[in-house]
Amino acid sequence: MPKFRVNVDEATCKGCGICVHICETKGGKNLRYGKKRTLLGGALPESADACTGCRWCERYCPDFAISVEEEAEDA
Amino acid sequence: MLKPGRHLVLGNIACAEGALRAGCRLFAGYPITPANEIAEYLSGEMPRAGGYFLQMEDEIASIAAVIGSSWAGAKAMTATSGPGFSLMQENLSYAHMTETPLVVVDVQRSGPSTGQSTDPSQQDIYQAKYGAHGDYEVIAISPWSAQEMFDLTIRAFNLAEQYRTPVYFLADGMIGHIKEELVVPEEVEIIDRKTPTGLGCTPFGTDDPSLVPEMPRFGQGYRLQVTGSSHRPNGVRDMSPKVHAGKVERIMKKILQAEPRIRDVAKVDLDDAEVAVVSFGASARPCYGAVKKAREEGVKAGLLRLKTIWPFPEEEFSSLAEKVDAFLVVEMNAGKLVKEVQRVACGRAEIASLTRLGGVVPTLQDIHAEVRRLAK
Amino acid sequence: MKSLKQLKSEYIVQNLTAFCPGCGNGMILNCFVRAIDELGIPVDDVLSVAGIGCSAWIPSPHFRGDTLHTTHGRAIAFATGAKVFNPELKTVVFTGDGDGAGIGGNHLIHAARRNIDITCILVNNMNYAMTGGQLAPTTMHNLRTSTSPYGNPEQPFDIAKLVAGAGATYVARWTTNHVVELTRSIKEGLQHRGFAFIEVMSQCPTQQRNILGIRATPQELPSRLLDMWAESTYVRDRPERAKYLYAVPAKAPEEAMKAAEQALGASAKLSLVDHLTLGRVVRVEAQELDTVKGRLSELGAVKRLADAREGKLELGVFVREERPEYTEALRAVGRKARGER
Repeated sequence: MPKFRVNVDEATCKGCGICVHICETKGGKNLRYGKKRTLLGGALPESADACTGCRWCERYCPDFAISVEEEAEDA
Repeated sequence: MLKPGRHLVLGNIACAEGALRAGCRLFAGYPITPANEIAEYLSGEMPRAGGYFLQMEDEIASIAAVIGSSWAGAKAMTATSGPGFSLMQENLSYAHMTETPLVVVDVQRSGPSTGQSTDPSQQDIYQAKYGAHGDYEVIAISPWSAQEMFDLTIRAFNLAEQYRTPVYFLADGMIGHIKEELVVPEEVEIIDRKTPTGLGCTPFGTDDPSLVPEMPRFGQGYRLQVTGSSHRPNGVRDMSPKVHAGKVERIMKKILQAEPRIRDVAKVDLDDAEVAVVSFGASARPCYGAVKKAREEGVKAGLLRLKTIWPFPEEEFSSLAEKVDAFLVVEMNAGKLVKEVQRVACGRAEIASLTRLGGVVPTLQDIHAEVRRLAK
Repeated sequence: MKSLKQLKSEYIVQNLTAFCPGCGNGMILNCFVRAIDELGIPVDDVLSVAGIGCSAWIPSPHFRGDTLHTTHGRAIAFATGAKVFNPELKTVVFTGDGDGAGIGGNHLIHAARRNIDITCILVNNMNYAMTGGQLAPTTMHNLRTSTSPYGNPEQPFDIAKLVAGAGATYVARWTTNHVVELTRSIKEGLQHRGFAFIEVMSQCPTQQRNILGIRATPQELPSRLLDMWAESTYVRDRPERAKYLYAVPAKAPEEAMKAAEQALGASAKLSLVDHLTLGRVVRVEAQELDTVKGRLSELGAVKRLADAREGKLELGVFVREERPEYTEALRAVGRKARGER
């Protein structure tokens, strides 16, 4: 089973919440808000480490701030 | 295109021929009297020369298409009259800010508004300089014959390319519709815009003393950012005071510092003149006759005919103001060029103004009478 | 599929976008980049032309290709000159509802009439957003905007219909919530020979929160607007996935919701949704709609019922045809003039 890592760039994320909403409604219900803020002061989404790699968040992000990387399989 | 040799040609057609000869390969315009012959002629000749003729939905679209095509690499022009020229002003402001080479032919007619749509005037000389918002300098040319409709249109394109700027060709309804001899030369000098040679380019800045940047075109991989917003030499938008002032000062200076080379005047009997008649375009024709007649009567009259109205040839007037007793400024409007003469002469000579509204060209008799009066 | 990070490194030249948080324009830029990438169009062949307004900032300063950022409403006319002179340029115009259908309306219909080979993406957020939310030719009747404090006296355009009527040969309308369909339409538009027009209903959190009266936190508002777009539209020829209707509240939406829950229990699936023309309403999904209707009509907290399609915008590809294309016709004129075959 491939694993996926989600990375949110805190310098370019605007905390618009679209990825969190899309992940919950269309995706793997992985993204949520914690305590961290973006550099611009918005709510920074966090991954619960359960990303299924559907990439809906990437399709919806207005700021090119979220990225889903497939992790290399462990040997 | 007309072959080298002598031809009998309508002024507007001579202008269109000059454009073709200069390498113009895109015309975008809208029907308007008294410029229509230019568009109609080019609708036939432009495609024959491998260029494009576009009739756009209005003058705003016409000048926009001219600018867009210039950035795609075209020598491009439009032809209009007063009302269409007014519509074009916003996009002309854009052309100045982006230093886009192009030629606008304004075959001036009598206004304001619809005015006398088929009668000539010289009312648009200030609109050419101040019509668009913002601070910028212009080059404006004034022909007085079919021959000059040809020769000076070529010059207009050359100046546009050399200085990366819009050039205003201020013809009028009389010269546009006159039919006279045109001698088409074997060879003409053509100037092309400086294009970048390397992998990168700086489209809006330069270290060259000419202050004219090289001009790339779309589709060459330069990833150009062309914008009417204040911008840095690389085209990136920048609203800071220093960048804005730097850009505007450079585009103004690049024209003003070149004024001696842009300047084009014709002097008749001015060396010992006591009365200097000043005129341009259609009204300069009877001025020539009036000066010659006065000379025959022993009056020391001379003619300074402007072939470039802008940048205003201040030096000519400064030096003349020291020598002559009076200027007589003759023009077909309510008195516009005379204001420039007053400004530069600064009270060193008497300044008289002979103006004509109503779409009429001043007569040789009226000008001559004024010259005699001023000569005392 | 390429990661967004990779797409950004290949196609985006400004690190932080200029858009407000949650703006639809960034999403449209995302779809545009994917379309270009999936078609394999070299970025150096792409000329993006834009006018003035928030949507005009989609290509400029963000996109890596040549960009021409022009005057308000006139992008299509500038693009026409460039495309005619160099038809090799893959020419895309980005415009908005004000820029494209207000001041630029004339150029829009003439480009459609000429069927010039340009792809025009018009972002419709139903107001002049950049200048502060003034009414636009797309603002719905009676809405309050910064220049209609007593309610908009005007009626809005159906822009897609207008452009189709003017002769465009590819016409589509989507919303920013339809990213897959939008990306596909942009690809189809780019490949289409002729005037391809794509209207995108888009969220403007900054202005629509006032104009549409949808109040939410910064991290909730954009999603609510996206959901509103999905709720307020239907796709031509796509069957509905469920049977449903709307209960329009008499007073507070929460009151209507509560009353409906009490009246219907487990026989219906209820949710409070934002609807573009109906406002905040209760969406009622049920197998037996007639029974549900009867019970809901008796409730004092419900003003009236609305069926699933009332006041909704149609989405889809409305026109897909071939007609002589303008730049090709100009080249034919040239060949004729020169006596070539």
